[in-house]
Amino acid sequence: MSNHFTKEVEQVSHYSIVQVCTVSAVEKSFVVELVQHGVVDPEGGNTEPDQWLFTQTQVSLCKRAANLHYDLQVNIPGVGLALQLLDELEQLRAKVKLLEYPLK
Amino acid sequence: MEFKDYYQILGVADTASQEEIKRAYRQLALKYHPDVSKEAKADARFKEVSEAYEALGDKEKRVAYDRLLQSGYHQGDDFQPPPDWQTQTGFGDSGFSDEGRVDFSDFFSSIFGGGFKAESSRRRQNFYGSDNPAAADIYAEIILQLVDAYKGGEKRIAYQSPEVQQNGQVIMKKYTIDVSIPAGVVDGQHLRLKGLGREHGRSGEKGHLYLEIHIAPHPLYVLNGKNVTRKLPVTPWEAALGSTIDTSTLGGKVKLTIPPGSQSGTKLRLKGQGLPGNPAGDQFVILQLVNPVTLDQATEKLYHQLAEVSRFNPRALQEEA
Repeated sequence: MSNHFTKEVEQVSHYSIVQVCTVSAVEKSFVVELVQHGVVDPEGGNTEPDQWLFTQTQVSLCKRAANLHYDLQVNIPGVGLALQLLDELEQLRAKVKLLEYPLK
Repeated sequence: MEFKDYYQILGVADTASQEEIKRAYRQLALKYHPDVSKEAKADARFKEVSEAYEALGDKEKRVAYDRLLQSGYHQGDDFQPPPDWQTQTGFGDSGFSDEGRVDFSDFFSSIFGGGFKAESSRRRQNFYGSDNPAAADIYAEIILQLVDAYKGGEKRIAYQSPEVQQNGQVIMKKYTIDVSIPAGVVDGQHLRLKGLGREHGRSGEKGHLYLEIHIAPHPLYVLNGKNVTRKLPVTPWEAALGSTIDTSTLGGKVKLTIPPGSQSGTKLRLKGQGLPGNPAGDQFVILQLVNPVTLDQATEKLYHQLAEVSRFNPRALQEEA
């Protein structure tokens, strides 16, 4: 393999629980807990965890949940609440940015 | 390297109790956590605060650190650990592997060795020994400009991978890879590059490299998934009479029809003019009425005429109430 090459990419649309664990650097049990508390709602959520399919948005949600839980010691229901409020805050900020004067 | 005054970073006196130190850390962690905070440089501040707490929150580390502080070091002083440091304190570079290690400063590592954070390290336990081939995957992030996400195209990325030399030594070999980014990738999406991960311990198969896309903020467009929104300044008469004006989209200029009687804040949709895909996103335009700051004579005269003729009173409803 030379030091420079071209590589094909594939777009990823869904993620398994193992991939979610790699991205977020967490144990499977943590993701299972997030799902049980309704923080994330993967496709096939009523089946076995290995069958679950996560969208890209849900993966970043898990990642942020892990950060809040392990860095700030927020418990799982608290993580759910914080993420919901942060999402709302983000949407409002985007709206304000579009409505505020002066024009840029 | 620079000496760090961890008490100063946490904003506590060096006589503070463990309880006070914990409280100060928690307050600052909430303030600067990169997933929560909008403060400038939150990420860097959070790391600094975590590092300070890692040193002072642990009684043994704090005693060792206090000895350094008492020997007369101040924030920003040039620092080298004393030669007998490791034997005296039991701390020092302990040669931990990089796995699960958090990103602490050289100063921290030079006095306490590998920066293992109690809570963070729990997260990765047992994971890399896993039987699952996905454990051999690598994740990296790349930042794209919005126009590049729209158009797609070649992007060169730098990448390093561990390689075993003939003498058994492992070195990090650097590569550059040209990847072709598909048009219409969204923020947070992953692209898979097959076979560029690390080698899986048991099967020897190579994992994949995943690139996580981050789209840089754009001065004009606000991004939401595949949709983009922008504000568009219009004159009062364009809004009142309706008009067709040229406006930019990610794909170039288009004609936008403004309906008569439009207001500031009226939201119009340009279907399919957001990020491409199936379905493609839309572009939203939010109108903002702008009055001329100075008037030439002719315009001023027309405004006077308008004031005389028009019976429009936007305050009518308020006054009734």
